[in-house]
Amino acid sequence: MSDRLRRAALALLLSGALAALADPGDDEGSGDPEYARGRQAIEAKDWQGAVRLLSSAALRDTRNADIQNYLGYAYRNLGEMPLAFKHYSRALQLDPRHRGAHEYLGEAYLMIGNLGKAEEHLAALRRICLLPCAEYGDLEKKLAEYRKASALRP
Amino acid sequence: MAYVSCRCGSKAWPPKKASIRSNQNAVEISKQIGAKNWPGTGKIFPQASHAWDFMTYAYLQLGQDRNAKQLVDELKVSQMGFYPSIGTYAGTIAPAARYYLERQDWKGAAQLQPYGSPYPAAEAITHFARAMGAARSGDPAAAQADIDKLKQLREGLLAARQPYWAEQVEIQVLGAIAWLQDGQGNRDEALKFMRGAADLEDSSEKHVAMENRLYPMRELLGDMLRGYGEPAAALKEYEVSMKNAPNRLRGYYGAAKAAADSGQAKRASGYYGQLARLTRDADGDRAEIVELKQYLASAR
Repeated sequence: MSDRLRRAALALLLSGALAALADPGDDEGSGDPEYARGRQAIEAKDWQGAVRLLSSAALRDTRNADIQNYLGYAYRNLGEMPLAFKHYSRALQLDPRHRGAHEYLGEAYLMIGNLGKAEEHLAALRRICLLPCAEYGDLEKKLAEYRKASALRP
Repeated sequence: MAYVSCRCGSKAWPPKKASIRSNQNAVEISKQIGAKNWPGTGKIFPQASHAWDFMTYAYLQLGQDRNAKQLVDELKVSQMGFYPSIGTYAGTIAPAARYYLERQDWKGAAQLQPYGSPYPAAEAITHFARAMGAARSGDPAAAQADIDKLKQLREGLLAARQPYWAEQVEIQVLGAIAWLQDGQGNRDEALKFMRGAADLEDSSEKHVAMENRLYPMRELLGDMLRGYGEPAAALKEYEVSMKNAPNRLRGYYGAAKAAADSGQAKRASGYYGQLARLTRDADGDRAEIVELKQYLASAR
């Protein structure tokens, strides 16, 4: 093997090995630009934009529970509850321990007045969050507010 | 030139020996790459740490503790070449932790020193080993300190939006809390956290940078159940653990003991037989191998 060829082989070898060991960095992002922009749209409360970008990203990354959860959240904020439930459920199908999806789905059930289902998701979070997690606290607070408001209703 | 570091052989027979051979080649080639690219510096192609880790693991499963220790000591003084990554650091840090954990040398594990790498998930390896060591050698305060450190590392990873590694550290936190609770006599809490660690680990994918996970949490759940006098439940956990982490010395040993203690002599004999084959060239003085010899002598 010539010196040049050997060097090229070494470079290829190094790049492959190092790529395999590279840090995942923000492994929520999967490096998909539309996913990243979709998340920005969520933060900017641009729900239509989020749906457009995240739906496109979901076509490329069909097993990403985070994308499905964000889609559920965007649809929920658009008031399109059936679609919100569909995407939250898909998120939990992909990752039954997805804390965000349990929290948001619990909140969505409160929005349609289904306290029992919301409590089921709080119970799921209690099992999952052996270490305290914000999702449990947030949903617990929403449930307490819901119960209080229900008690005040004539 | 082919560079392959692998955990290969773990499902094939003879287990681990093929892994050692392949990884010895990988380390040798890493040294050659280092000598060629950084002459006179003593530096090694960084992925060698991965191969070192796999080899240490394999020797420990074969009960060849002297070989494992030699690798751990050699790695301490070796210099990895350019581009340190989480994989390089994890491969550098894990062998010493494995050495003490696999040998159940709790005092040794408790005395490991953090490496000081810039990668929280790699640093967590040492803190987990320290927490386990302290919890299982009767030093709850020291165990709690390392658990707190692990929690801090996890928080940092969450803040840095690295949920995968945060979850991996969470598994270690849950496992360490479980044994701390066990040491304090809180059986229900211990089992709750140990099962939580095992379930979370089983639901989580492996990452190439830590392909060879530090210690199977479900096997630890088996150990815990066996310690609580529930051998039949322990055996189930050992057998599930073997699917993800096959051909482990502690796995076969635990399963053999659990089977024997639950009145399943034939299964116990099968697992002792597998342990005997795995450790036929063992050089160490592990309690498991001493017990195995006693079992074989009494079975004759």
